[in-house]
Amino acid sequence: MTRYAQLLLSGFLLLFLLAGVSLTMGAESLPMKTVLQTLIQGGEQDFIVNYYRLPRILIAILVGMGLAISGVLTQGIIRNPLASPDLMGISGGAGLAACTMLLVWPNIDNVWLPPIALLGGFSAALVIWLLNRWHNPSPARLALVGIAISAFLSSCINFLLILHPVEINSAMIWLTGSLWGRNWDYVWPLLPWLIILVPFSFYLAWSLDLFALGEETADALGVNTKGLQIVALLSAVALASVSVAVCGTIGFVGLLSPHLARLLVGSRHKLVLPVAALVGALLVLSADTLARNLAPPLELPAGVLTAIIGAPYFLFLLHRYKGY
Amino acid sequence: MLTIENLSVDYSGKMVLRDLNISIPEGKITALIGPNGCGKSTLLKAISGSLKVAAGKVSLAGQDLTKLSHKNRAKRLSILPQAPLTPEGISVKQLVSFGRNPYLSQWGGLSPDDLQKVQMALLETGLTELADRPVDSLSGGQRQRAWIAMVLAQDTQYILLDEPTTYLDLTHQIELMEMMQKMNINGKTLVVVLHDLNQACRYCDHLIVMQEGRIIAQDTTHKIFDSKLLKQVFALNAIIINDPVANKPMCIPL
Repeated sequence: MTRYAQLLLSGFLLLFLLAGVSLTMGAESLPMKTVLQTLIQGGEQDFIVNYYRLPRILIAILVGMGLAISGVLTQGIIRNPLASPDLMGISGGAGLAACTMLLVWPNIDNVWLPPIALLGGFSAALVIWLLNRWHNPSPARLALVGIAISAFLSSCINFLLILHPVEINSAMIWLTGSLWGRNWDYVWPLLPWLIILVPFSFYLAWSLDLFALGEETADALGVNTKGLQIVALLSAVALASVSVAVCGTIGFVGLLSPHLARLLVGSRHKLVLPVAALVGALLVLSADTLARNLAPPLELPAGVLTAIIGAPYFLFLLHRYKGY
Repeated sequence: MLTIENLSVDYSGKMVLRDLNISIPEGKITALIGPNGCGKSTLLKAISGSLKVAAGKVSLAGQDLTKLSHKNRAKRLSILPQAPLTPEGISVKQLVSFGRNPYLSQWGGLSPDDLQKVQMALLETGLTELADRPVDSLSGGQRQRAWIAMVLAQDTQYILLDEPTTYLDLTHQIELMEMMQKMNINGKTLVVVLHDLNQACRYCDHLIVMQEGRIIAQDTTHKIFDSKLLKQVFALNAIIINDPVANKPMCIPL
């Protein structure tokens, strides 16, 4: 077995293990045996295990994957180590749109969450794109612009939440990103998007490798670089937006996972994408498991926990790429 | 034959190339020379299609290059930019295999035939031993050879190189020029942007001289390389003598 296969396998095992442990933990901790029995045949704990914890774990995994892959695509195209959907304000745009929709039509079907978030994400991306065209910024400046846009968007969310007070946990979803109360009703609207977008991002992997040689070189090698940039960025925005639609702007996963994956397996996108997806899933799942269990029955938002790891790493990146 | 007719290029509102007419002879090495900022690199980008052309036509054997798909164009003409980016940790063999892109599907899987072409390119550039080394760990000369190998794997009739000798010491510059001659003997047509005029004269059959986005002269080295041209284009006072080794013109600045 190659080193890469070993790495992937251990990642999967770790994720599986973490999911198992996460199923046993919570306001009421259950023995593993009960959890396994309940998974197979239901029973007394059916609600807690199958309708509360299981979908939430699945969502954590899906959202982690989505954010991580979105980060790989963004960093691949913008060739900026500081680029990621959350730092560029795309998650903020998606979050604002989804939050607005839920406040205006509280009873709307969840199926509408991803498309509305997409609209918000694309609008934010459009602003960044226009800025880029008008004044080609350095990587650090792009990150700063993104942070400014993110800050503006989250203050809009704040304002909305003050106008329409909601329960603290659901407010947390839109303020910092949280998986509170996410059940099967949120898995189904998310799934079809990921089923299309994740394989599609793998389809772009080889072209992204060529794009890494520089736009001119990729052009000369027969890559349609303009087309690739558009398609990859649209996919990145879509992946981030649908993830945000379900559990808000969980920060730093999209920035961190691609970096960790590249550290582990080098720069080939074919290898980076699966590992980044695993890392993203592990990050969000562990953040949410901790969030549920640090002070039960009180919940911390998962986004706060990813920020605790993510923010120092961001500072490290800024330090490492001093030239920017 | 690669021909360029009435080619003009705008760069953010400024006319960088004006109404160029060039024909590049087949099976020869053509050097593109001129002072910094005269539009040499822009011309190569316009030919390769990575830059939008304001007016004019670039055609290969009578066929308009802009009408070809990206991959079909890349099967006929390759270009090595001045400063390609080296992704961290990528191996020489991987880099060379990127040259096969025009012949591959979107997924990028290499057939045995593609792998053989990659091996050939590695052999021709003397990199077989270094195939598994990361490109960013190589010396400047080896790294440039790896890029040349990538272009060779692309297996095109026309090869355009933008200042391939920059950043190389003299030994490696000569090594590269000799490699170009070998490629030429194997039937390739090369166009090279060069700064060293004596190297251009010694190793190239044909010269294209540019100044401020225009063509000043284009013909065989013997015919056009003289002190009047150097004075006009480079504002350089020089005498021309015969290079005793290569029997080509050679300039000595005064």
